[in-house]
Amino acid sequence: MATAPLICNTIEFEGSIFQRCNLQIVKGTTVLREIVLCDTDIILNNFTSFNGCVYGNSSLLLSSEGLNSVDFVMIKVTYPSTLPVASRFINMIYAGNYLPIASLMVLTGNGNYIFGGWDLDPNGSDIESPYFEQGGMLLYNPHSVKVNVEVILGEGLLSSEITNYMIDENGNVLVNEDGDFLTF
Amino acid sequence: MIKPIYTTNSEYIKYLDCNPGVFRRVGFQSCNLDIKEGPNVLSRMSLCDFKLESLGSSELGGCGGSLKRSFTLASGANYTLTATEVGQAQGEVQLIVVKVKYKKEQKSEDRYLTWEYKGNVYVINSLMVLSGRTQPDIPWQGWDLSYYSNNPPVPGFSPQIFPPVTSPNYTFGGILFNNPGEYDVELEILVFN
Repeated sequence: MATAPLICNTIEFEGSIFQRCNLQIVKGTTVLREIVLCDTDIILNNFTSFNGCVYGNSSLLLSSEGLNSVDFVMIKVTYPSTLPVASRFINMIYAGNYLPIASLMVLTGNGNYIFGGWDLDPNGSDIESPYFEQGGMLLYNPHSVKVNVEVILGEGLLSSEITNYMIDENGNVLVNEDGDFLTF
Repeated sequence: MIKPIYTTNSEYIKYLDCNPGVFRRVGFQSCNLDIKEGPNVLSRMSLCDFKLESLGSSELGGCGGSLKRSFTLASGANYTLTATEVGQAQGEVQLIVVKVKYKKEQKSEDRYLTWEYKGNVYVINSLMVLSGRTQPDIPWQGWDLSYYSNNPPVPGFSPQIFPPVTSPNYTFGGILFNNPGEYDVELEILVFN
């Protein structure tokens, strides 16, 4: 007796996913668009990473303690499945401005410039408040349920660490007879 | 005391940065974002479960879409990113990814662009991912990529010129990128709703 064909009544997903190191827009198995992130190479000096949760109607102040400047920010948010899709967002409050985050935020900067990094310590005050016009970063959960967050804060290399070598007219790094770098 | 300089010949250069272990590097490995120091993974954030549903999918019932742009932003030039064609009714989108590629000649300490959103100026070095939530017919928690002006452009056959924007306003949509560097840069942008 023949077996009836198996019918998989799956719903075709239409949206954005990571496939290997590519961020893809897919419809079912069809890739509509993608952006390749495999060549990402961001150099950091120090960094801090943590995961935890932000309780409902609460906020989490991000601290740059131990970092001279913040040139890399990555925030991932996951929500309880009971939360409706439209409510799956939190806010990042930065310099008094509310910015949305659904599930991912990646920011980069360049701390070699004043205001080139992401300022989590306004005016060097050590008082980290998002309501300072100059900086401060806070994650705000406007919902009644907790959400999970993973955060990486990184300090890029400052120019003094990588560019104070002497170079010739072709940009080659000069060394002495012992092979040691010559510095200014 | 600095000894005499003999040459830049590679055989004399013992300590060039050929060893990736010298620095901590952020990169994507499979669907994870890793911070590595040489072969050691110091920190990992998995993005394998990243999933953002299109507003155009049947369940959400709105109008979604995606676009990709790749172009050169000249030194000192501006570019305004708008995407009303994929945004919801008020122009909000759910995802913006921006990659910046610099010329080799540009020093790493000079590598940055500025981007202005809602009258506030931020920075980007090489990568930016912004996500939000949209609803079909009301402004919600998306990124506003409607026109960067109070006067949306009229159809192309009109003789009226798109009004130049001289004063960013909080009510404007769009993101204005500026390249303050000496060199042109390559931008790759993906927008999704």
